[in-house]
Amino acid sequence: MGGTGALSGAARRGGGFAGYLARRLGASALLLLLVVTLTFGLIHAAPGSPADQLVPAGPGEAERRARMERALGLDRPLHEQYTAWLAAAVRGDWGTSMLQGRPVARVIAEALPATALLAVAAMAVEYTFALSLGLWAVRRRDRFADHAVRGLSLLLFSIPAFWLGLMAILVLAYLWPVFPAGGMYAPGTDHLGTAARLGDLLRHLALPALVLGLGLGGNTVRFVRNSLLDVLGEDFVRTARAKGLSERRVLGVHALRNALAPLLQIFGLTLPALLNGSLVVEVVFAWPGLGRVVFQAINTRDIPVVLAATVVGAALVLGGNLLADLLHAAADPRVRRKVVAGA
Amino acid sequence: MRRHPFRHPRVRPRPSRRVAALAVPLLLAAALGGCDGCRRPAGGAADDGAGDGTPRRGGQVVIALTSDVGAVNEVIVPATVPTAEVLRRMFLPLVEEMPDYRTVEPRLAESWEFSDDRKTLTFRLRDDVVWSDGVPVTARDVEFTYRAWTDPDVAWGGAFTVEAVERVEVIDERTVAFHFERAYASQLLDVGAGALILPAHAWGELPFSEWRASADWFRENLVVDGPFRLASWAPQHEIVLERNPLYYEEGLPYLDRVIFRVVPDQTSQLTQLLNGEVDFVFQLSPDDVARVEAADDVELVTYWSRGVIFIGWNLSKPPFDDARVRRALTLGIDRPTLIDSIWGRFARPLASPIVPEMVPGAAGRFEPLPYDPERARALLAEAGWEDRDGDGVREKDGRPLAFTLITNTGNRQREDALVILQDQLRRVGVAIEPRALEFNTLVGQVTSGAYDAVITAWVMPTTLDYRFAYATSEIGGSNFVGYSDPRMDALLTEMREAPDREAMRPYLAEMHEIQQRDQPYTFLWQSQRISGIRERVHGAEPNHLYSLFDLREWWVGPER
Repeated sequence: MGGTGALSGAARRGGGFAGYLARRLGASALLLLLVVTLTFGLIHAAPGSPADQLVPAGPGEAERRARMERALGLDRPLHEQYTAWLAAAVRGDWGTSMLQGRPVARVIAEALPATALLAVAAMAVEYTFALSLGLWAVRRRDRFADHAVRGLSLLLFSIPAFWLGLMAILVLAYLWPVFPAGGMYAPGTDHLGTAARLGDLLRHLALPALVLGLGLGGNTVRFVRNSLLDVLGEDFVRTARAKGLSERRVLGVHALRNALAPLLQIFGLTLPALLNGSLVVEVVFAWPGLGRVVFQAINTRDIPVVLAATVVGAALVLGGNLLADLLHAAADPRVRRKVVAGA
Repeated sequence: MRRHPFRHPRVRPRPSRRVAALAVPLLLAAALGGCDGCRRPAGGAADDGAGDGTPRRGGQVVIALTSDVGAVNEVIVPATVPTAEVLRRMFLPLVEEMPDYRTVEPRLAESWEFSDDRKTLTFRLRDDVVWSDGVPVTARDVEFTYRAWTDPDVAWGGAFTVEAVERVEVIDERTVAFHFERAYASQLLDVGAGALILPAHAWGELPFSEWRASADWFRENLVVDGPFRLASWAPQHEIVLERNPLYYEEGLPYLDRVIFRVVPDQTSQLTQLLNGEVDFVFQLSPDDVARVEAADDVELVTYWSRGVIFIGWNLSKPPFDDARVRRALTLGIDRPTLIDSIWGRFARPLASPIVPEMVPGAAGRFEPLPYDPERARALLAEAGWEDRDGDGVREKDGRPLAFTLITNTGNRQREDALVILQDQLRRVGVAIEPRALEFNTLVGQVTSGAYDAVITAWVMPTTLDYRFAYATSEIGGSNFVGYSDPRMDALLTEMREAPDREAMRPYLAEMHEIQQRDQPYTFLWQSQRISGIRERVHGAEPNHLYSLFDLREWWVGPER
C-alpha cells in the first residue's frame, strides 16, 4: 500500500500508527462508497420494483403501477435518486422502508442485535471446534485421527448451510427433540423471569449457532492445523523440545501461541462468510436477524432497506478486517514494524 | 332492496372441525358431479379429547406465518396474506363476505339497503361496537376511512376497488350512505367487505401526507374494534394478539391469546407443527402430506383455494398468434396425469378462470378441453406445422416449433410442471425449453413482453370481474398475453353491470366459449390449500377467503 505523500510522510515522521489508521479508514470509506454505488446500480438495474408489491392485481394495473412508482419517486432520473439518497445517508437519514412504512434505521437496529448474538455464538463454536480439533489432529499427525479431522473439515466446508440446518432440525428438534426447531424464544414467554428467559434464549440459540459455527469451522480447522504444522518446524519449537518440555506443553503453549497470530487474519477474512451464512441460517431457523431483513428486502425490492443493510454489512466486514489487522499487528512485532513503517 | 336481520352471536357449539373438513370437499364433490380425489384424507384418528364438544374459554394457539405483518394499518402496506389475516382479527369491515360465494353477513353494519336506482347504498351501523379505548364506532369512522382510501398521498393499493364511489355521506351517528356514479354487481363487496374501517378519533390527527411513513405511529396509537387486540410485536419474529375485552360479540373470542410466529421456511414450519411448537400452518406442500398423516396429533384440513395456475401464451409472437396452435397445445396437455403426479388428490383441472363454486348452477358446465393428442397433431398440421426433417419437432417456413416456457423458482409444483409439460408436448412435436427464473426477473420479462410462454397464477376475485384477464384495456397490465377481442370486451362490461350472479350466468357461459375457442391462456389446475392443525385446536374452519376466517371461534381443550 503506497498511501499519499502526506500520510506516508506522517508515518515516517513518527505519527506512524495514527497515519496508518487514517489511511486504512480512508480506504475503507472509499470501498464502502464503491460497494454502495454498485448495489444501488444493481438493484435499480434488476427487474422488478417495490411498486409490484404495493399494487394489487386488477383493472388498470399498468397505470396504477406507474402512479405508485411516481409516488415513491422511482420515476426520477437515477443519478438524482442516487445523490438524494447519498446526501441523506451522510446526514444519518436512511429513509423509510417502502414496504413497511417505517424508518429504515429502526428496521436495521431492531434486527442487528439478533444477528450479532448469533455471530458471536457461532464464532465461539467455530474457534472452539477448530482449535480443539486442530490441536488433536496435529498431535496425531498422519494417523487415522488426522485424516478423519481433515475429511470432516472438508465435509463441513462443502455442506450447504441450509441442508445442515434442516438436518440439525430433523435430528435434534424432531427425532430427538432436545432443542426447539426455530425462533429466538418460545411462544409467549414474555412473562417469565430474566433467568428463565435467558435459558430459553440459549436453548433457541444452540442449533443455529452450532450449524453456522460448524460450517465456518470446517475451513478454520484446516487453517489451524496447517498453521500449527508450520510453526512446529521452527527453531524455537526444537529448542522447547530440546529443553525436555512435554509435547502437550510444546504444542498447547509455545506452538499454539505463535500459530494464533495468523488466525486473527482468518477471522477478518471469514467475516463475509459469517454474514452470508447467517442469512441462510436465519431463514431456516426463523431467527429474526439482519439476514432475514435483507432477504425479504431484496425479494420485495425494498431499495432503502437493501442499501442501508449493504452499508451495515460492508462496514462490519471492513471494520472487522481492520480490527483483525490491528490485533495481528499487536500480536506480531514483525507486522507492527511494517505498519509503522507504512509499508 | 335487501335487509339482513342481525344474527345473534353464536355461542352454540359448532360442528367439529373434522366433520366440517369432511363436509367441504364432499359438497364440492357433489357440485362437480363426483370426484374421487376429493375425499378428505384419512389420518389423525385420535379422539378430540374435547369431552362434550362445548367450546372452552381460555388458552392460546400458535400460528406460523411465512412473513411478518406489514403494519397495523392496512392501507399503507401490501395486502399480503399474513397482513390481511392478522389485521382482519383486529379490525371489522362493514359486512362480511361468506365463503359460500352467496351470502354476506352483517358486521359493523347491522343492515344495509340500496336505493331504487342502486346508486346509493346506505348502511345502518350497530350501536354497541366500541373501539378498544371505549369510544363508539360511528358513521364518522366510515367517512374518514373512505377519505383515507381515496387520498392520493395515502396511495392505498386497493383504491381502484372504490373508484366508482362519488362521495360518502354521514346521515347521522349510525347511518352512512355511499353514493356511486353507476350501479354494478360488486358494489356491496367493494365498499362493505373488501377493506376494514379505521378509527377516525385515533388516526385522524395524523395528516394523510405522513401516513405512508408512519407505520410505527399507527402501532403506538392503535385502537381496535375486532375480537383481538395487539399485545406485543417483535418484528420478524412474533406477534401476540389477546382477547379484546370490549369486543361486541358476547362470549367471543374463546382464546385468550393467539401467537403468530414468523417462520419463513416451509420445511421448518412443518417440523414445528409436528413437534408441537406451532398449532396451525397455512400451507403444506403435497409432498408433506404423508408425514402429517403419519403423525397422530396433527390433522390435515383441505379446502379449495381460489388460486388458479395457467400458461399464458405471448400472443404477439408466432406461433402463439395462431389460435389453432394454442388450441393444439391445450389439447396436447394431459392435465389429469400432470395434476396427479404433482398434486395427487389435491388439485383438479380447470377450463377457464371460472371457479365452478362461484357460479350458481355451474356444476359440469365449464368442462376443460380433453386430452386429445390426435386432434392436437391434426390442428398443428392444419396450421402448417409439420415435422419435415424427421427430428421429432415440427417446423414451418424453416422454423422449428420450439419455445421457452418459464416460471418462478421456489415453487416446487410449477417447476415440476415445466418438466412434465416438456415431456407431454414433445409427443405432439413441440420442443419446450423449461426455465425457472427468480420471481422479480420473471415479472420483469412478462411485463415487458420479452417471453414466449409462462406458467403463473391468479387468485380469482369473488366479484366475478374477469376484465383483468381478457379486457383490451388491461393489455400491458394483468392482460400480459395481449389478448383482445371486441365481443369479449363488450361481454365483460355488460357482465360487470349485471345486478347479481344469477344475471351473470349467460355472460359467463359465453366467456367460457370464447376461452375454449381462443385459448389465450391454457388453464392447468386449481389446487386445494392443505393446512395442518394440531388436534388440540377445535372450531377451526379455514376457507378460501381466509384461513383464519373464524379465529374468534377457535378454542382449545384443557392443557394436558
